[in-house]
Amino acid sequence: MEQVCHYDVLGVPVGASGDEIAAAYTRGLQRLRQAIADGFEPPHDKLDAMRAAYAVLSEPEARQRYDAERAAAAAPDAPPVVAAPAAGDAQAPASREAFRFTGAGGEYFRIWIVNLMLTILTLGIYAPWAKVRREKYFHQNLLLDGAGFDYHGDPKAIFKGRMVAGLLFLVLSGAQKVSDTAYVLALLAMAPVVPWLAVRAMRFRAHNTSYRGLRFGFDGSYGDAAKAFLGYGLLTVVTLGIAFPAFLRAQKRFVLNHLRYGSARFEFDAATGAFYRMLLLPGLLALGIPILLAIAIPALGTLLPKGKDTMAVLAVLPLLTFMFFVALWLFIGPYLTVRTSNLVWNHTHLGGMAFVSELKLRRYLGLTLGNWLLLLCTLGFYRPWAVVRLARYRAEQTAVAGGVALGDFVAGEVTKASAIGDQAAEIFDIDVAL
Amino acid sequence: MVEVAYYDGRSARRQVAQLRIEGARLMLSGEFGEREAALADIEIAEPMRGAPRLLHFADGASCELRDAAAQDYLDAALAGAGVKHSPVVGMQQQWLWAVAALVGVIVLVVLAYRIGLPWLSKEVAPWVPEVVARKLSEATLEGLDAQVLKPSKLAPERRQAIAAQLALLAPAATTPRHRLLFRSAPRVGANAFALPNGDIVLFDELVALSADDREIAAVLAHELGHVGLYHGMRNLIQSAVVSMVAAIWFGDISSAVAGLGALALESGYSREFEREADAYAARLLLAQGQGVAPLTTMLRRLEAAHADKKGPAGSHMFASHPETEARVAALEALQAGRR
Repeated sequence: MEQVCHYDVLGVPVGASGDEIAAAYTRGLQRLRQAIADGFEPPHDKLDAMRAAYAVLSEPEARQRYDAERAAAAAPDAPPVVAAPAAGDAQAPASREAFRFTGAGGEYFRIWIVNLMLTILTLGIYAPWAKVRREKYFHQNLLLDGAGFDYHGDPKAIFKGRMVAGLLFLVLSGAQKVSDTAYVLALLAMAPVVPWLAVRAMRFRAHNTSYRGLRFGFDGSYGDAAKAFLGYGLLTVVTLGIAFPAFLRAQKRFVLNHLRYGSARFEFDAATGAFYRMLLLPGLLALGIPILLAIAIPALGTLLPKGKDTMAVLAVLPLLTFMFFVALWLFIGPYLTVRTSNLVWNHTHLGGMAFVSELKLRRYLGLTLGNWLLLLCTLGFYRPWAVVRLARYRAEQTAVAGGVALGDFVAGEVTKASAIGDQAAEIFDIDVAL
Repeated sequence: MVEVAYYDGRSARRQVAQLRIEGARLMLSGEFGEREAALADIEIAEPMRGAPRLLHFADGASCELRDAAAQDYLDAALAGAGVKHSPVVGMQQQWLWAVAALVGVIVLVVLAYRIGLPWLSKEVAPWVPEVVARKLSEATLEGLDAQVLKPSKLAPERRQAIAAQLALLAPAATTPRHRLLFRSAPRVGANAFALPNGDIVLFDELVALSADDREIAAVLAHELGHVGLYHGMRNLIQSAVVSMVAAIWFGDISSAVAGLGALALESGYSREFEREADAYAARLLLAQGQGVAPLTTMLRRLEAAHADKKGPAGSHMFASHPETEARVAALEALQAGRR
């Protein structure tokens, strides 16, 4: 994707003469041959890089163009050497880089069970440390272009955040016990806290995620969050759920449009119509079929002749209805995950780079149903393998496309300024799913 | 010396660097120049099988060790410099520890379920404010009155006789505050139950089943045990904890699975409560100079009365009353121990 400077590849100064370049190329080839003869295996792209460098630098016209590009790309305060596309890159097809997940179920099982035991032994005090180990495992094993993500959450900050969240929860459940009025009052008092919590949680998560040494960031404001969560939430209630797809889109838009990697902003451009189309099937299934059943069952009772067989049919109907809802429930969860993921990521860009999500519903359903079955058989102890399988599949089906070098991203100037805000952000650690 | 990827923290550009560790100091050299830091000032990622290892410098720069050779070099150098990871890392890497942790988790959960939670609820239940018990009980009784319970058809004299028999067995001075209520429940059959606020509800069907008032009073003494031992409140606390843990453990698979699991586990507690209430009733009966016979007779009658409705005996996975014979035997053992 990104290319080391041609002069560096050959190990010559920028102003080197043609002869010096030729001599350096020959020396490099000899060293490579010697290394192979000695039994070392040099990086496979080393030879290609040397050939590409020599092809450009040995040709005066190509070298002139390359020098000009270098000068143009070099920002005033950037290091003297700057990445530039290789000679052959112009003809190369648009690059596409898939994510990879290198975690393994057995390895994660050991981490999970040891940390679970420590959490129980310490009566839950250790839980934030366990969370950080889990996050680090899933971040560091997620690779893009060979480089891993990382998680930097501070367990002590998470511990404090959980204490505060627990306190809020206690207040709420205490109010519920005292009287209905107190409960409603407490709920009303806390409603404005929800958007604030969402912003804090997003900031914490984004700021504590890094890739290639650059942190992610989140700068959504309280007002934006209030609009996305409370405004659209209220609209959904008022319209009896008809506005729910718009609500979902507003949430995703709020999260992604305020997310940045270094100084580069994520851009999310899915239309509301796409969310309505996505939620049409589950909406019809969840709302239409109960209505249909409510009409059909009494109708069946009056239409069929009264007899022993009819009674038997009517007796199993509730069981059939129950089983139908279980099947529906098993289907809707994975359906929503797959469709939402594909819709959201296929409409997300980052600095000219596009995300591609190609989760297949059938494969994902198979995975989740298999996981559920195995979790039931093992009383839940299969969990580490289940989450690793899902993480691997999701990573493999996600990619970035577009010929943008990942190395071109730079840290945002806001990084330092937001440090104080992020201190406050660390008080709350509540996951908001992307 | 090994080759690593270096990121300066200001851009995502990957630079090739050579990493070297001498003693407790780490040195990097590459096109960016050279930099050096004490190992103690660098945040070193814990080792993982397939993931690149990340080293973070204090100023936000980092380097990434991708291949196994580089990571081996780092681990050897760290060991040489005496830098140790948290002991948790060592445990996470060995299957022996993982299996030990698995056994530990199961043992701890079983202990918490069998000993910890019952102890906790026993300690906490007396501290729950009375208003909570009262509100809960009133709501429960209202709900039952609206759906399954009907007014009792017993004559006032009959009610007074039963109350007097109970007062004889359980003098007000030595037993918890309670109130005797009469209802009828043809659909449920012979039964009686206690609420956390001390209300004891007796069904006409149970009165009809009994041979004399001493048998009724024995059953009521059992219900009084539930009141005096805070079983209602304890059950509430234990159920809340069990359902919460079941929801966390199984919640993402299915709430139905979590609910069924919690139900099965809670019924274990109810059985224990029945045994405790039996023992409480036996104490009252024996203190009165009676034997446990009124209660054991009544238990057998109740089982016979319900046998027609229930499935075959032995299917007691969700039963809240332990096998009648086991309870009778336990009661008779108490009586024998007293003599």
